[in-house]
Amino acid sequence: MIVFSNVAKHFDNKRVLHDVSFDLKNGDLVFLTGPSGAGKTTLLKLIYCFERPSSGKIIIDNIDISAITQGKIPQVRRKIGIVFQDFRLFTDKTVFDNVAVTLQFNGMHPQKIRGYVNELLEKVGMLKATREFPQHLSGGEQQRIVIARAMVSKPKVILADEPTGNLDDENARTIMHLLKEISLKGTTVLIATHHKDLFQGSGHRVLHLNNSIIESDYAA
Amino acid sequence: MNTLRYALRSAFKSIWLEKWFNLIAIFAISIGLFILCAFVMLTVNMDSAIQRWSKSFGIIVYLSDGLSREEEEKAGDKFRQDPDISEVNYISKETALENVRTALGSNSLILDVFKGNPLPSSFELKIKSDLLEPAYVREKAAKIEKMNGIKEVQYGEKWLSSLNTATKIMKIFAIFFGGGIFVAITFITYSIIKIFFHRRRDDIETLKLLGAPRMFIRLPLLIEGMFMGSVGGALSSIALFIIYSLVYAKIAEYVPSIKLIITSMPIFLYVLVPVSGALMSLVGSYIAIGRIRY
Ligand SMILES: Nc1ncnc2c1ncn2[C@@H]1O[C@H](COP(=O)(O)OP(=O)(O)OP(=O)(O)O)[C@@H](O)[C@H]1O
Ligand SMILES: [Mg+2]
Repeated sequence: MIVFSNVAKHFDNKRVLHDVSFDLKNGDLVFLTGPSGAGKTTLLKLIYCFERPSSGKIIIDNIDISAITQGKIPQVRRKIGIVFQDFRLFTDKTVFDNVAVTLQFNGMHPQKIRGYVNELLEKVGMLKATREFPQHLSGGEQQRIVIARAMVSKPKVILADEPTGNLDDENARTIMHLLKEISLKGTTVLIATHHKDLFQGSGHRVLHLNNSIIESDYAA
Repeated sequence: MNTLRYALRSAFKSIWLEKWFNLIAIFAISIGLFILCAFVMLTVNMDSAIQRWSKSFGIIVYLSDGLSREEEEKAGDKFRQDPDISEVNYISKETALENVRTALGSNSLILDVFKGNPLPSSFELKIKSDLLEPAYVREKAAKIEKMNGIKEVQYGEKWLSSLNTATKIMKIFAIFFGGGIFVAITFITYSIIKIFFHRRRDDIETLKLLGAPRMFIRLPLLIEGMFMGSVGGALSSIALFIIYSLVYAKIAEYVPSIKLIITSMPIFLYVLVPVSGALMSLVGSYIAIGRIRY
């Protein structure tokens, strides 16, 4: 589903990624770790075509995105649900509309959308806040909205950048459980985090990023 | 279909959020369109006034000197029998002189320089109104001039042609003026949509990251632009209608014959104004949106 072959990324003279290769299959749930500034977010950005690799090849769902044209990018992005590190919620939309937006892209019928959105808001425990605006919610609540938005369209890939950064243990467990659940249905889930306790002892695959390379690739 | 629904909803939400901005734009657009329409109506009215006026122009036929009464009457009968001519007025030498005297008033003494009466007798002819095309009038005049005992035929040709050039100039001016207004309105919507775009750049960026189709991002902005143009146009239509009816009624109170001169505003114009406003602002917002690289 996600294939990196000898990918490098540098900004001007700053080398962030150097010769990164890995292969994630359908239904994989993988953690991407490494110290702050290691390039986790940058690696995710390469996947959703926000950044272009300086060299190497990236394949998402059999599409070579290292050579993709601008016009085809939306198509690739619709395969990917993103939990942004900085949330990126729409402040002029209600919680409901924030989650509904990716379903609206395809012109889905409003009634159908309501069903999907409410189901997911229920799962993340935010059904009570449907009509509120995200900026009136706490950090943890906002994070759960972002997670709901990323999952609602049942994408082939979910990229979660510090998805539990603002959550208490209870909520963090709920979210991890949801991510596992969706990966069992075949979605490839890549979680960037430096919280070791999220994956320690879970048996999940971990890609440890350091000094611009994947320093270790192991099962936790 | 649903996409259009979402776009409409999103557009109207942001129209409401940015209501003051939109209001200013709508007023600017409606003022622009109003001025344009007023100008067009002025041109149309002037054109039709000139048209009607030119139709009331008569042909004046001056008779040769030294025709006998019988000969003059014979010519008059001929005109009266002509099916193209609706009215025949005979003006004798004496009446003509009298007319000139009253016209000159105290200056009439200069007429005494002449021995006797220098003015010819004449006929004033009105051509039937449905035959009043400049070309036909010219032809008729030429035919009459060839008749016996006719000295000269005059009709308001010079007048007509200079009025025609005046309307032509006005029409050309109206086209340029319309072009100017078009550019102005396009520019107004272009700027406003660009401002909206900048204010929402973060949200638009997020939409792009989520994989929104081009139309999902662009359609609301286009709808907003069109909304401004069409509402602006509708406002100027309403203003135009009110002012037109008021002026029409007021003038008609004093000068009832005005109803013959001022053409009533064609209904389609009231529809055309909002439609053209919408088109102009659509062009503006389309150019502004071209800046969304995606
Ligand atoms: N657009 C950019 N231009 C220049 N440098 C950049 C750019 N984006 C990222 N970087 C640099 O790349 C490095 C990796 O950044 P990145 O955000 O990927 O780190 P991270 O692993 O996600 O860190 P954190 O755990 O704090 O989120 C940083 O040193 C950052 O300064
Ligand atoms: Mg990061």
